[in-house]
Amino acid sequence: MNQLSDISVRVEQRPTEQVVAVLNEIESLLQDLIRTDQAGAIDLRSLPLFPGDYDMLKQLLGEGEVSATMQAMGPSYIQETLVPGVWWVSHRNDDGEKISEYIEVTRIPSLLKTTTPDLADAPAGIQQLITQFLNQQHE
Amino acid sequence: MRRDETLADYLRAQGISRRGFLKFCVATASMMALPLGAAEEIAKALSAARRPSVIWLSFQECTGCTESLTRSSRPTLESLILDAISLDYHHTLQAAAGSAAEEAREQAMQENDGKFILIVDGSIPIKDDGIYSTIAGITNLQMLKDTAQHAAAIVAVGSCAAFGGIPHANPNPTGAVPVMDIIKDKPIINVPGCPPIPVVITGVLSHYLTYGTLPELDSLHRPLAFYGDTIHDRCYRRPFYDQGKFAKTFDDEGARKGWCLYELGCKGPTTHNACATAKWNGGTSFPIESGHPCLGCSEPDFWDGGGFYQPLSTAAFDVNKWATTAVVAGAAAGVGLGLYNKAKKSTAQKHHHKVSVDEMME
Repeated sequence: MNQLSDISVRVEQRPTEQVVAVLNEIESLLQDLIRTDQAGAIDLRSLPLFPGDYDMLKQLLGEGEVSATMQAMGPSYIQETLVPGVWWVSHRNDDGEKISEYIEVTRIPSLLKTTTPDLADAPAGIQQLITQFLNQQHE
Repeated sequence: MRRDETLADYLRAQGISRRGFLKFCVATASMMALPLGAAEEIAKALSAARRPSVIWLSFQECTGCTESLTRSSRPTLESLILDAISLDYHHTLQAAAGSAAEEAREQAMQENDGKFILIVDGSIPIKDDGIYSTIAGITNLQMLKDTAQHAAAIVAVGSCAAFGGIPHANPNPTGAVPVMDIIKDKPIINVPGCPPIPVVITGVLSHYLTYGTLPELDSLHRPLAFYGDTIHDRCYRRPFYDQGKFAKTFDDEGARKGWCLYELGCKGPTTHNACATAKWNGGTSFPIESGHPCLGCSEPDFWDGGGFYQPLSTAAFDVNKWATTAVVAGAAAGVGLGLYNKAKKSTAQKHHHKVSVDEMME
């Protein structure tokens, strides 16, 4: 157990309003995505969740078919939930502490896409790889 | 980081990828209470942002505000934002001391006249010409006036700089006042809290770096993004308040079930701050989540606002009335306070309520 957040919290007779409110908001964001193709997100750190609500939400939404881990300034865990188009995205620093966490309602979280400047640099990167490879072959 | 370098240049030189930078901007958007979509706007602005000069003056304070900011585990948003500014004077953190330190402040003021951000923590004593707190022989009052006239804006960090804090508490022997009572001709942003949440301090700096403007403020000069709601508005225990379920003591059934702490003196309903959402210790929790009422530390005069464990609905006991009665009777003021404590103890005995030393000192 390395983190305080690893200590499990069991809450009895917890009100359920907040969990239902978040699920309703997800439903509304899904309708927007279908209608306008506009992605939406819920910042989990801005919500007044009861201890246990977080785990309840995560358990209800579950884990879908796609998951990805991004290593950039610490790991980011990107998991599609059982509901298509609903992603649980958790960004952490090198110490494993959460620095932000969202439920994203989108076809694909934008951070997974290759950025335009990175794409522009990519051909030069491939050329460099080819040069290095050929140099190694001639040595 | 060189002064002419942008934050994006600096991060790239540190081996941080574009995705990493975007991730940093996503977290910054969350920190600034902006929608996720603002992350790209922040990335664009920060990519071009140059390092602003910052002068940090510490007056009558406990260094808790600096500790709050610098004791965060690394690497954090706080550390990255700190890397993005040029902290030209901070007498707790800088290597230089004595006249060399003061020369650094003078130099930063001259080189960045009208452009630097002045951060102040601690209140300023003004009684007897401010002689109760000096740095390098200069009173806090004089140093603040001299430095503020060259600043672009002032950020008053912590409840002491924002509202006077503990030094300002009754009887305020040094005549301590907040920055805004002295400086009237510069934009002032108050970031109160004892101490303030680190991300709130850096959130204000991020806003300035991103937009080049000051954030929207409330009537007490606090940024609305962080102080727009009360703790009560955003408290996860709010449903219990609405249902009338209150903990009556710290170890009763209500406390164990996590019910509302209003009757144990929680000042959440009248306290504007971001603790309930930004939280503390790397986002772990905040006082109410740990079972303790909010003390209201980001509100003016919270030390003099009555007992920490008295419900807001209970009128604050007028301690001065007891002291005055004693003086009129020819006794010392201390006897008056003794009478007050005796009365309190008596009331507590009637209600089988144990009184701690701390409560007796309220």
